[in-house]
Amino acid sequence: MSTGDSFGAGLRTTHNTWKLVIAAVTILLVWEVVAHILEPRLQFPDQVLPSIERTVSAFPELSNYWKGGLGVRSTESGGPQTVEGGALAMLDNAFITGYRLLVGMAIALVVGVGAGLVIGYSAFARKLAFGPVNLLGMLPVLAMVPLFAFWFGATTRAEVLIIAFGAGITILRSTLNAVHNVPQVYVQAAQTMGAGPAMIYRTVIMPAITPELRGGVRIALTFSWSLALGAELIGVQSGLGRMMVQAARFSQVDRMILICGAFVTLAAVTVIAFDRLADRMIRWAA
Amino acid sequence: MNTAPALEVTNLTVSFSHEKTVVDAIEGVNLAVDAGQFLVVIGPSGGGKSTLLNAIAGLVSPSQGTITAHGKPVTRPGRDRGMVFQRDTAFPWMRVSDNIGYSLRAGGVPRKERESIVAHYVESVGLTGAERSWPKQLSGGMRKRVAVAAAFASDPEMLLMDEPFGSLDFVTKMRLQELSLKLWSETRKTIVFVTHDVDEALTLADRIVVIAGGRLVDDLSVDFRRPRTDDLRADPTAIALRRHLLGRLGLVGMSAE
Repeated sequence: MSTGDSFGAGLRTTHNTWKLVIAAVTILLVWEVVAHILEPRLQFPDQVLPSIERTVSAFPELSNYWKGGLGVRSTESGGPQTVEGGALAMLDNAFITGYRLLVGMAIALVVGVGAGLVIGYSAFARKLAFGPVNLLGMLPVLAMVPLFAFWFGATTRAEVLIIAFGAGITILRSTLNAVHNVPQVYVQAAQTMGAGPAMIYRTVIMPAITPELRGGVRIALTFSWSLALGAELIGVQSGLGRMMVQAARFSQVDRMILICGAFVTLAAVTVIAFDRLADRMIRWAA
Repeated sequence: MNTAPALEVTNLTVSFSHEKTVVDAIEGVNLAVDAGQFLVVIGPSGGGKSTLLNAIAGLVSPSQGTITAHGKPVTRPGRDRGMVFQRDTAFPWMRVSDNIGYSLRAGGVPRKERESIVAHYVESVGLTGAERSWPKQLSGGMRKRVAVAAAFASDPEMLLMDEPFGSLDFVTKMRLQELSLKLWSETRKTIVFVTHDVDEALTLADRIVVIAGGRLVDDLSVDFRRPRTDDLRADPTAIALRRHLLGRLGLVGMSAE
């Protein structure tokens, strides 16, 4: 590789699935090797880093988080720990967390982009909003999870709102910046072709901001998974984060790793799905 | 002809606040352009020629003086004055045909009629087959054709062209000059064309005005026979005019005066 290829376009990443697979396999290999190195040297190796096989064998234990139904009894009512039970518990809680995340993101998108477009319409309002919005953007939103839990209780509503707030601020900032960055010459060209302010906003500003906005939404999406986990760690009584808290309480590292794996997989799936969708929507810029 | 001029600029002064560079300002410019005339505005960069054009387009407001286009005072941009910019203005998010039809959409022209006008200009500027392409799929010269077609499509009374071909290579530039002349002879629109290229001015113009230091310093009529071929380069009158203009652009020693 020549020096010129090392920078800029030469390092541009493509979303190649096989690269992700190689990365995942590498992580698994390192994990397995380290676990086997540690095993004879620690008193309780399973409470530090259990090997892959031990972790996988803990999967049926997740049945404890299954509330029962669909022909699989809960362990509380005396049912056995089974693979099906583990899978149902995982799916059920993943669905709950995913649902909160999507509702929160939907609110963030509508309010963030909507407010951004309204404020962005006037250059004066845009300048006025820059300060406060950037200040809000600097808040450590994760640190505000307890506050939201205090205001709204340890409820789904609190979790959805914290996601909507955190992701919404990111999206709002990104929208305002994108509106600000639209090259003036496009607006001038539209004006000389007879377009009025409303038509310019609809046919020039709104499409022109989509590539930059896309980046902002992607960051917000990744961030919202952290917020979902955070809200469930603090007090919301169901979801993957809640499973994590309970596993941590009893030092069940194998279960924690399984739940982490589910989190990472879900986050990756949503980001990849978003990329695909965005690619189709912004074909002109690809 | 006994009609009022298509464009009348009276005692026009445009000055900018300190944010913009002072050198682009213009001062006390008077200019009358007849309908159907191909006027080229030439001058050194920073001399104010683009500012004059932007004022005619209604994109900047005069500090003093007035601009009247076909009898109406200019206060803002409008479909009656189409513009081709130096920078790429074909909207990347619209396909070629939607770009060309944009002004028609803005003017509320019904879809059927719009489509037939767009089809006409697609063919006329040589973009047949590229109607459904995105601008990024085209070369710089083809994107410029889109911009030219878009400007002509709304059938404006006047075309304003701001160094439109400045960033193109020599051959592409010649082709687009040819295209501009073809469209001009077909439509006989008034054209105000800004450039700093003397040869471009001599190829295109009926009349050349020189703007330098914010003032109109020269007003020359150019009546070489059309179509102008390469032989023009050997014509003694043209050579003298070329020297004169190069001198006006600050190339001292080449001036005929």
